[in-house]
Amino acid sequence: MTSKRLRRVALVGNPNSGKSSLFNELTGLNQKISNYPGVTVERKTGLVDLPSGDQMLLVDFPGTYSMYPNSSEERLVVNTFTDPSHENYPDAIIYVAGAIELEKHFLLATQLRELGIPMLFCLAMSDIGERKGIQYDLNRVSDYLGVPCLKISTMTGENIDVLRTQLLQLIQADPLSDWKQSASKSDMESEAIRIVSKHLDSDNSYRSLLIAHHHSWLIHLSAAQRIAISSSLASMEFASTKLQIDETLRRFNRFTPVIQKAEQRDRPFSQSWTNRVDSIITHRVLGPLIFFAAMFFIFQAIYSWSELPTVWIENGFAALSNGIRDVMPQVWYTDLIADGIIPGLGGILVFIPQITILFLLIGLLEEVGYMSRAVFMFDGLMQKVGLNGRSIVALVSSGACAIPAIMSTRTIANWKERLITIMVAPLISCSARIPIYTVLIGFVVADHTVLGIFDSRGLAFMCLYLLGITVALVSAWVFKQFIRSGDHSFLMIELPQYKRPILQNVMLSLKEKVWSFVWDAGKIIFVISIILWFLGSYGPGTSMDKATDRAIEVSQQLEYTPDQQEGYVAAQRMEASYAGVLGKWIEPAISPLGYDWKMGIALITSFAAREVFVGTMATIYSVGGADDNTTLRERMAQEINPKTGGPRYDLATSASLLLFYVFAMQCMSTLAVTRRETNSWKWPIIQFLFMGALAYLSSFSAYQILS
Amino acid sequence: MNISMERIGNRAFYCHFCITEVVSVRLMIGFRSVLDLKKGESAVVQRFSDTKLAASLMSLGIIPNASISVVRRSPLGGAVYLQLGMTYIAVRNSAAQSILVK
Repeated sequence: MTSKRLRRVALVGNPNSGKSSLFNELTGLNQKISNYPGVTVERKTGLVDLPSGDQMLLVDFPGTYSMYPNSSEERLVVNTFTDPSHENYPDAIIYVAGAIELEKHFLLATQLRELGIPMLFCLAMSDIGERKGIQYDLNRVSDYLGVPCLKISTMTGENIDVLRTQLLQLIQADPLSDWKQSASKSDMESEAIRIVSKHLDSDNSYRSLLIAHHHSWLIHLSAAQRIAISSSLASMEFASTKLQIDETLRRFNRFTPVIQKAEQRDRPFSQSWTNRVDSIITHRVLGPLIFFAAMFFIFQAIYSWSELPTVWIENGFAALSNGIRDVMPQVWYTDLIADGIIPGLGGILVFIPQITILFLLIGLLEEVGYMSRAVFMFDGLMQKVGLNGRSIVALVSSGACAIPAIMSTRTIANWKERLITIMVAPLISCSARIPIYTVLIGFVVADHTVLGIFDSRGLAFMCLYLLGITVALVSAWVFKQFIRSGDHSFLMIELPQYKRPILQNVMLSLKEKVWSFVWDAGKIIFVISIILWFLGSYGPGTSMDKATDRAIEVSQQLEYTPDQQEGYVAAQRMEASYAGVLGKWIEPAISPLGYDWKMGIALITSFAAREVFVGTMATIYSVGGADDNTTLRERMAQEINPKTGGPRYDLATSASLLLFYVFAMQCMSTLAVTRRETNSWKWPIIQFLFMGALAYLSSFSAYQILS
Repeated sequence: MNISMERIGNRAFYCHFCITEVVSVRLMIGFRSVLDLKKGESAVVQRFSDTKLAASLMSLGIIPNASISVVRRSPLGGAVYLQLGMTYIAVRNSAAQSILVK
């Protein structure tokens, strides 16, 4: 093969069919994950080495049950497979079917078969099937589908090499001829196929039929095509829902006898241990308790396990910054690197330990199959506030970062429920709030032990989290009253067998998520830290030079030590800089919340990302080593409020700031993802305004009551 | 001619799946829904009372003549945990109510 374009092979199958494991097995570390893919962008792709020395591109599609989709993830599959000009329209398909309840996997397989794309049918997890005493006569399956069949297992490695060899033939195969088992079409279906083929130049009748069913949302159709198809179908009273059911039933009626003949069971099915485990895990009382205990453990782990690596990263970057200042000449770009770029990079990387731990633990829960149990348990509660059981996955992930959480809502079929989940997910305290909470919480509660075992600050942390969760649920309920939707709301989720987590799967997905965070959040923090450095280092006209001269004069009069003088000069320069001007400009708006212009600067800069707050405070209070929280806290504690003469960070101001950061939508990346996932500017704007209003009102009340 | 034939066919189909037709109400009498099953009780799927949900339920393997049983209900209500052959599926009460069994 010498063609320039890599051959594309689609990996398709039901959810929990063992598709991801096969993807990881075939591609290994050769995976490319498009960061934060938009609705139209494809998912994971990976390069597969073929025995011939060539490579091909494997595209992993979301788990799908049928070509009549419910969620936007499933729609993506239909979109690609009905559009032969699509970039990822496959040259061949590897269809992955689970070895248990083969009928369920056959529905999509027969639908895809009719599209005529060369296909290889893989019976995955054959080891699990055999353990349960199920064997299949694959010749019968192969005869029926008219495509080669292969029994594989990623656990034991069975037939993976054979699969690679067969792939070579598969990608060179011609399109399949018409399927002899293809179900006859009704008159109405034939008419619809004729209409679509006329408008679209589609040479495959099943593809035309799918386009007839889904023309209202398929993105590859032009508006004109959509209108033409729509009016032709309307005039013949095309009954889409009924035809879908009819077709589905026809397929089951045809292939069920085939599978029954191919299947051999050497013992009757007994109650599996999955069910016995679930009698505890999803128990009325124990189930929710176990869930909360697991969440409590995860958050404890985030704090305690990440402490050491976080300190290493902080110290490493501080040392790097100082080192560069020592070896490079004292010019503006040294300042930019040492004060802007390196602390900016450090500000991103310092979150890696916490994010990694959180994603690792959540990934493990998903891999063993626990998350679908949580979905089942909490659907009732979620329904009451306008969410879906599947929202629980997004809300839990939000504890790390709202961005992957918002992306995970694509599995929610109902648009209203999905939208509400997107809107409230950022109210759950994410890891970027941790440094702010850490700095401020000491000003609100004194460090002591409660009830002999609990750390008072740890409890305060938990209260902030609970506050975020409660307000998220209440806001969801409010949104439920306002958002109208005619969509059917439902939840159907398979509860897969519990299985031993495959380390490779967990690690690859962990790598993907951590990298997404570093890259996408990092880009923004990086740019902002450069802008911030500029705003803090330069001022209008000659104000900076004047401020420097004046500060040196004052410190000489007051006989400051060189260290004190340096700090004083830096603080005076900050006040005279563009950042200071900005801070003073918004001071009237934030003084009812108890903030001064210095905090104003931090509020503005941390709009980019919350974690920028701490770095900004460190710069403003001219503390060396931007991430050194202890010294920053000490410095903040010494700050005097000129109006009252008391400490600047008293209970009222600190509580007000904390509440502000619990609620405010201080994250550009989240707004960008909301924009992409809702495909409109309306929802990110509403999200920003409602969270901002919540933050302002609660901070205002807290300050006015406490001061 | 073709189209009217098709309509007759559709009407038959409507009756089979019991949607909004008055006739169909009579056909539904005598069927219980999955939601009426006791914990651990098993039954055979007959038809669906809600076409919108039927296609999705069927793609999960819940098809007429399949044997289905209720394993447990969710802790906070709202959903049921079903067993279908060797697989377990959770659906909301509303969907469970649309699965008619005998």
